[in-house]
Amino acid sequence: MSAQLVPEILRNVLADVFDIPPDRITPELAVGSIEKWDSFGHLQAILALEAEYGVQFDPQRIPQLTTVALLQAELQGKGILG
Amino acid sequence: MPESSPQDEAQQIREAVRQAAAAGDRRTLVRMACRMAKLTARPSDYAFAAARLRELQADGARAGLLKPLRTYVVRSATVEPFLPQLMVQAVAAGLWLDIGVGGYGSFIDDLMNADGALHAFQPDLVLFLVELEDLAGGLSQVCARASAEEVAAEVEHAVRGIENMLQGFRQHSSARLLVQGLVLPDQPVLGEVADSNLAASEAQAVRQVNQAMAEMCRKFGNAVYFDQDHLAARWGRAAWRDQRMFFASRLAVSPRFFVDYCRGLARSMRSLYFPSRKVLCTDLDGTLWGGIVGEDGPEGIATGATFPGSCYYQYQKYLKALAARGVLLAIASKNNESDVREAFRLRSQDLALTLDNFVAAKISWNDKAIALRELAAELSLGLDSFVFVDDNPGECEAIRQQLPEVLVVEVPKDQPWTLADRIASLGAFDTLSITQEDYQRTEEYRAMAERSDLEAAAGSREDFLASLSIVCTVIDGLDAPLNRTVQLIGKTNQFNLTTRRHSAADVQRFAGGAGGQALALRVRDRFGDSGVVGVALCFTQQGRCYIDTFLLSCRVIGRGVESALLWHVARQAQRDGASHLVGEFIPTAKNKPCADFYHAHGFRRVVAAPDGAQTSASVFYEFDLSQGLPPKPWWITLEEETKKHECAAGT
Repeated sequence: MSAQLVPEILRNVLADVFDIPPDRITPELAVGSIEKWDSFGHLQAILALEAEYGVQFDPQRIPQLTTVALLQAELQGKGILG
Repeated sequence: MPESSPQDEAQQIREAVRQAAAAGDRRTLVRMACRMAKLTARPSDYAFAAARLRELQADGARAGLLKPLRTYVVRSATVEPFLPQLMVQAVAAGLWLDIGVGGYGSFIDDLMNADGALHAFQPDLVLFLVELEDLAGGLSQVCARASAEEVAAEVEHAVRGIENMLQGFRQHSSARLLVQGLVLPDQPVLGEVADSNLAASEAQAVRQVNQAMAEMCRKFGNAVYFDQDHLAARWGRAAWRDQRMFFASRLAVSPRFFVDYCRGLARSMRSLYFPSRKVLCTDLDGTLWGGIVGEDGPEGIATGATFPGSCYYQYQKYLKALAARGVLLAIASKNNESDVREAFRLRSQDLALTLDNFVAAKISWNDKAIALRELAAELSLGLDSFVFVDDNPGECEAIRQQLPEVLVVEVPKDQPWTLADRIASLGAFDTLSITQEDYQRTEEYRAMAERSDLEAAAGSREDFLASLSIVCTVIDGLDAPLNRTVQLIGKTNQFNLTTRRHSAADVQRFAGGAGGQALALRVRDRFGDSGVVGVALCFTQQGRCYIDTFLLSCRVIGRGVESALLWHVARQAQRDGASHLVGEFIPTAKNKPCADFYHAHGFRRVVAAPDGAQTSASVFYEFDLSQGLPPKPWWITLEEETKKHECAAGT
């Protein structure tokens, strides 16, 4: 699927954290599929998104948000990203 | 024109970082990363900047812009998420960190085990970031029982544990050390009312552990205590730890404060490696006092007890405190000198400073860049020792452009009450020790100015020098005291033949080796005592005595003091049985004044490095001790203090 399906801000934040070009941030990109998205990278991504959007994730949900699509859905569930 | 918001500015700088990285322009990249470190708190910006910096540092030789440090983190909590912030804040402090991180549960092994992971990493710097829970986990429960004796015993136990770890570490590593203090409990187990009233106070117990850690750092040498609680209190202890992230991910500091926390760490790390600035040069109108003395008259300027003069009075008091601990004050202002003198005379009741508190004043209508250059020459100090404070944005920009080494502080427009705090928060005068010489510095520099007056009047140079009655006393470098010896080694730039920044442990090695010397030099004359101002370190190899380090504070140069110290080193080498004395010169951007030193003292240039030395930049000189000694200036009295350590070793 295309990176265009991921909202721009989300894409840019994740691209910074994982140090890859924004067009590689596709909905199906997942934990473990790229070098920087390991467990610490995951925590870094979560913290970067919390700061960017001013939200807090439920710590019990954090380990389950293993793809870009799941992160996006979680943010949408908090009334962000439309 | 609408002003751009901080977010816009951060975006622009981020773009500049990207372009500099793409162009491989390391210098611009570092400069932009420094600006970013001031502007942004976004975690993704830090991840981005850290990645760009890492790329450029990895794919080429280091450009000497930053001090590279292999840095090992000994920890008991999660540190990985803030490493990008730490790297970028360290870059803004002039340091390049190559980071290794120990295991959560292995901090004791890391420190104590000479064959462990820390030792294998070969760090230059170790950060000790261990949490209260892991150093004194039982403290809360003991405090809950409210027995003052039990609490004291628990504190004692924790302190001894930390001391053991740090001593074990020192036995196998000479890396420098940052020890992080503990945050006082925001919710003590007894509740805040009982805790602050009962003898078994948890907050007091943690404070005692912190004080003991700070004391260990002072005794240790090459160690800095990082007062984490000070930062936590500034931003709010209740918010400093985000309990959600602590319990879920063992993050000890709330992500909200990563940037402030890392900036604090970097500031403390910096103090281990860089000398503080030495001179504060202030403007007068609109800076030292409110208003313009040439227009408002001495009675019209704002200073004293009433607002807004009280803000300027506060700034003056701050400057006076800086001067008391050895920072030199100077004036650079565009005024008529007579107006300024009149203001200091007529308003002396309302001013915290007198003209005597300043070592020099440039009051004229000339360019301030010229004034600063003249001040640097008169005080024999580099421009990188200067902080410049002015309210005129044009003057500030001119100095930034023409003299980039100078740290410029622009007085915030119409907010004079922020000035002292703003200078303090820069950390430009941070230091890990204050010695007797620091207290005397302003007087010493004023005496120097008097001496140059006398020089102009005296006839021959040598007669003039003789009239000063200079006395040099050679003392053991371990007794200078040792922290003064190490301070001189760490900060002397101009008259420093090799600029090797040795640690206290290194000095002890020179002192202890066969045919080794670790000397310090104290100088006084009829105008005053300059204190300990010189160091020489030597070692002997196959009958040749090598001068590894030879340096003098630039304010005593030109009076034969350097020759006296060299003569003494040569005589000692001769007594120790050395055939030759070998001098070494390593050129730097700053030590040109001593390039000709050995040649001028009768040394012959040779190609002769000691065994196993990495000395590609070195130039070696040799003196044949069977032919006698280098010249000793007749006008100097050279004394030697008896060595305590020899006596101790002989018993």
